[in-house]
Amino acid sequence: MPKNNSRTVLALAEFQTSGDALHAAEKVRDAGYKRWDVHTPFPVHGMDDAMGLGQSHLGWIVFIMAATGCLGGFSMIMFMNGVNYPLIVGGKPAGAFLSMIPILFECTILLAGFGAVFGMLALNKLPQHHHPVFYSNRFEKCSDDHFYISIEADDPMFDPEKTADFLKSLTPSHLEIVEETVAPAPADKGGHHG
Amino acid sequence: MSATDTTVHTPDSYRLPTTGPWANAWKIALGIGVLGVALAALGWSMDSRRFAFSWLFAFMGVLTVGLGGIFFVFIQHLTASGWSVSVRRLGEFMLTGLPIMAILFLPVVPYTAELFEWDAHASHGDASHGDDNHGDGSHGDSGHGEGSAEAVNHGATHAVDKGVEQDHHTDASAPFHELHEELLAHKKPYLNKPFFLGRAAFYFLSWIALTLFFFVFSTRQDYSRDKSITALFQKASPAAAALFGITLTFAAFDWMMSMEPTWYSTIYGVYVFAGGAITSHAVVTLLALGLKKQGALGNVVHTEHFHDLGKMTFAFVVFWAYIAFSQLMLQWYASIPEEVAYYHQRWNVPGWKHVSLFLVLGHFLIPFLFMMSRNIKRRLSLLGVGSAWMLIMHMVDIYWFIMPNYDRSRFSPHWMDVACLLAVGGLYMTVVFAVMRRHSLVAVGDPRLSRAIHHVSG
Amino acid sequence: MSAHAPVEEIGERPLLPPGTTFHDITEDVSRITENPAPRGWWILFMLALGLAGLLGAALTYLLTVGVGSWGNNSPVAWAWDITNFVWWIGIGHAGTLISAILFLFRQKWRTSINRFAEAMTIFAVMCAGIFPGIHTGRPWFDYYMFPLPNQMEMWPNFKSPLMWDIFAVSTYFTVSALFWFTGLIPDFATLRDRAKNPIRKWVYGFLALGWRGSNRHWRNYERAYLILAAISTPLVLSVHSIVSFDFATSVLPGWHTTIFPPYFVAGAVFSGFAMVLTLLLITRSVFGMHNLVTMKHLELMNKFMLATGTLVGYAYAMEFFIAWYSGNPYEWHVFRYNRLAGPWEGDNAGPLWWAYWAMISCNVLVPQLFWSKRMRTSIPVMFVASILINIGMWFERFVIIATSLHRDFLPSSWGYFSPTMIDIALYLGTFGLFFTLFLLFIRWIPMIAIAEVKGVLPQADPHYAPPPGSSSGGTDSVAPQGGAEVSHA
Repeated sequence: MPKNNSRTVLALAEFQTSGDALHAAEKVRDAGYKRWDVHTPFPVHGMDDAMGLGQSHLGWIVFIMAATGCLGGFSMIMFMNGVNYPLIVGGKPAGAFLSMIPILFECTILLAGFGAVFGMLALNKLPQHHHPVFYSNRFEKCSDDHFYISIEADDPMFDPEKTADFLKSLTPSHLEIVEETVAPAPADKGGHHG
Repeated sequence: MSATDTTVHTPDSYRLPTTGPWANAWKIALGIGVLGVALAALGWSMDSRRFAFSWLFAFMGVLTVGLGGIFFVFIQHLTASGWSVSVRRLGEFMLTGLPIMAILFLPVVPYTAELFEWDAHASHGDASHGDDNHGDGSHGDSGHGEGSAEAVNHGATHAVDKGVEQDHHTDASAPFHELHEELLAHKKPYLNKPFFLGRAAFYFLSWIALTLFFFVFSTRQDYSRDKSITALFQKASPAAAALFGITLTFAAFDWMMSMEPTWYSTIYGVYVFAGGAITSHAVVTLLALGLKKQGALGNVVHTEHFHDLGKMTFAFVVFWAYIAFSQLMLQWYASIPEEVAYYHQRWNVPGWKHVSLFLVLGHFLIPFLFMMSRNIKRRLSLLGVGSAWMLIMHMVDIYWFIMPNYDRSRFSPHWMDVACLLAVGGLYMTVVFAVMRRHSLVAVGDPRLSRAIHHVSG
Repeated sequence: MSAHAPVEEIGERPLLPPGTTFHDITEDVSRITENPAPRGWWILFMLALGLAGLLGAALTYLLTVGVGSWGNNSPVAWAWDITNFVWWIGIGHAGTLISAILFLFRQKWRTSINRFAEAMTIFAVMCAGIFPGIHTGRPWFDYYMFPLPNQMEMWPNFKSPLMWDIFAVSTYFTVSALFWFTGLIPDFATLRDRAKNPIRKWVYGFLALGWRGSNRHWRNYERAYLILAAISTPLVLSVHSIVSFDFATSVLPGWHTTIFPPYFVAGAVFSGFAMVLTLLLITRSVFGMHNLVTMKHLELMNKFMLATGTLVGYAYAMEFFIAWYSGNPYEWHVFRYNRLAGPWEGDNAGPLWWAYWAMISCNVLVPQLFWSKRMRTSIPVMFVASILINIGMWFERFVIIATSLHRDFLPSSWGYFSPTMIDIALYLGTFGLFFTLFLLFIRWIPMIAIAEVKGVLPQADPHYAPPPGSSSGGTDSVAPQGGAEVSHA
């Protein structure tokens, strides 16, 4: 139980294999937890379903960015070579479309690439260097060969004892209750970092 | 080791249903083919020159589908793909129609002088009116075609330009072969009828050999379950790919590119290949959808496979656009007269511009946007629509390759185009469907079948 | 699950030695960045640094004196500069090919080499970028090439393929770098978690962006990776296609041919694979990575080179055939007399015939060795072949550029090209830059994609059942400890 100047922020269950973590995740999902996560060294096939996550929405961001790139490229060329300073080269009309295609394509891909990477980071709320899971020393093995399920204390269903018992029933190889040191006063400071 | 492998797949597990539409599919196809042949014969008696063009169009349209089938099969072996084992047999069935294509090529043979200007040149010699000099049985008929009588009077070269300025011709009224006498003489060592026929024989022999190799061994594996057959396929597929690449390229040169004998493009073989590659994936998708609907494929082919087939179709649609754009852009940009004549013919001649635009939209832009979505590739009815659309567009593409040469002055569709397509397509399908009745619809002997069944697409 | 087990009889083998654990991979890859560098690394690094110095000296001289210090002349206005540009950018294609196209085709073997090849891509594109920059003659005016308002109130000519190049190469560099960094994020987290030294922990922690292996993150991450692969595939095709447009949009015989775009792409992939192989064989033996880069990987790469080399051969054949078929006498002259005809044809021979034959021997004939399994599994053979292919691909670009230019339409203006010391020093110098960056990369950054290799191990599959006799793991086995101990942090 929380000591005087610390409070529970996370319950962290450790698993040895991807299969164990997957089956445990299905049970956490079925138990109705909302603010929880699975941490794995590599993406585990089928984990999205086991966690009850839908499809990623990244595709839309990329699509919008790509369309912007294409139209932006078109406007740029049309304005510069067609309107502002009409340029006829090689007998091709100022606004010839065929010779625009390579640049339109590159602009489309460039912005789509930005959309994919920065969109992914934005959806994941990264960079975020501070997170309660990092309080656990064992968690360093997450990027090596261990699998973790974390349930955050601010999940509406979280109860320090019940949640710990529930996680124990999933037969983890280790269970850890992660606590956070709170500044002595005022007592409530520094609660949420997520 | 795993409970998932308890299903035993025997050669009889996946058979064409004996009831329902598939049972009589070959008869329906035969009916279509016979009807087509009858109509084509009627057309031939009315206008043999048009018949020759329509037949060549239908022949090339269907042939490239079958050749795409060869590609579909060997690329799976070349990449040692496990996922595609579920559907590979359907690609193999597409090959079985190729031998009959050798017979369906025969109607082209007497009409090379009408179809190919280099041959018109050869058979006319120095005579200005060559109708009487035709060899190979095309004599007489060409003179009776009413619609094209004028063109025929110019030695089947139809350089009659009705209101179209052909600035690449120095004298638009002279017959094509006279204008280009020097060029055609230069090409004669390659473009002459004996060599042309010899090459055709070589192509067909190669394709029949590839068909026998891939189909016979694969169906034999259904019973023997001999894993060494898979190893053999993997070992032989690079050589098969090389043979396929060479024969397809030169067949495309011979049967389509040489219709405009002054025009040339090094990418042409790749261009024709790209169309065949799209269509083979589309046809495999359609076959799988049709068979699955009747329950003939059990749980062997499922959404994941359709998703992957859709992705491949999509990828080749993009590839086709890339190749088509490369050829168009480079020839447009450089504006060398011999080269731009090709696009001039397909853009500045009334009617063809719309066909060209239709190809840009229908063969690339619309399917590109349609097939991009993951949801559409996984919704089988929509995927079926997309695949059928690509099959139709492939025929438009082949039409666009061939038909501008029929009448250089206008876009001139003809009912015989459809009749010949029914004839060639119907007879091709008759063979394919008849063979399907006698073999397992799934390559059950492949050691990777259970992996394919458990395949999950991304 | 047995469905996914390799079938031995059809030549399938496990990618990595059986029994490789997740931890083995973490250890084997991270160790290289943690241990002191082996002596071999230092020797190579000093050599590379020396060559990079040569690049600096040559560039300084060039900027002082001007491009007249090159062997370029009229009619050979493009020579080593553009040859080197195309060669380097071609080498830069294997990285994206391996990371993108092989990813889309689910070729799992790519995971051991993709990071490596992506790094190579980025450094090769940097080397490539130098040449168009300096060949303008007055590189301080290079900003004219960008669509910026300038004092002449003129915009760039977007119909020029050279402009397309600017967009293509800079987009390629940017997207490749983003792709590379995206792949690195989880691996930086691994290095962060292993770091003992606080500075090291801080640096890798900063780069890892706070990655915590969250499955909610992996979901978007995997989608981003897939999308990047999907857009990089046409991108990689477009870049070398656009480079080929530099030549093919002209009317110069030997340059203007429609197969150039796919032919250049095939050649680029071919040379890129050869370069990956050369570097991989050296690195593998210096750092002892035989368990991560196995003979199976090497053999597959050799097969790829056979395939792309043959495609390049197909393009050579098409060019040659159409040069004759077109009936264009200038086109035919370039192929028949500027390239093919050697001294055995007496006066018909062009002065650069040897370049053409070097290209054919290295690019078409050498890869044919790999039809034989013995050849494609022999390290010395593949090492020599990969170097020969690199040489051959350099000659391919030189042949395209120089043999087409030096004897074109008018015999009165025919000429010849010989390189100067500055040409040679610049070319060698780019190797210095490339290897300096590359050696720094293998020293400080995980050169094998740790998370991705783990993902292709058999036990990564949650339905994996360990082979009989193995004690841990399994879908319904109880965790070894029997029950959980609870601890507080």
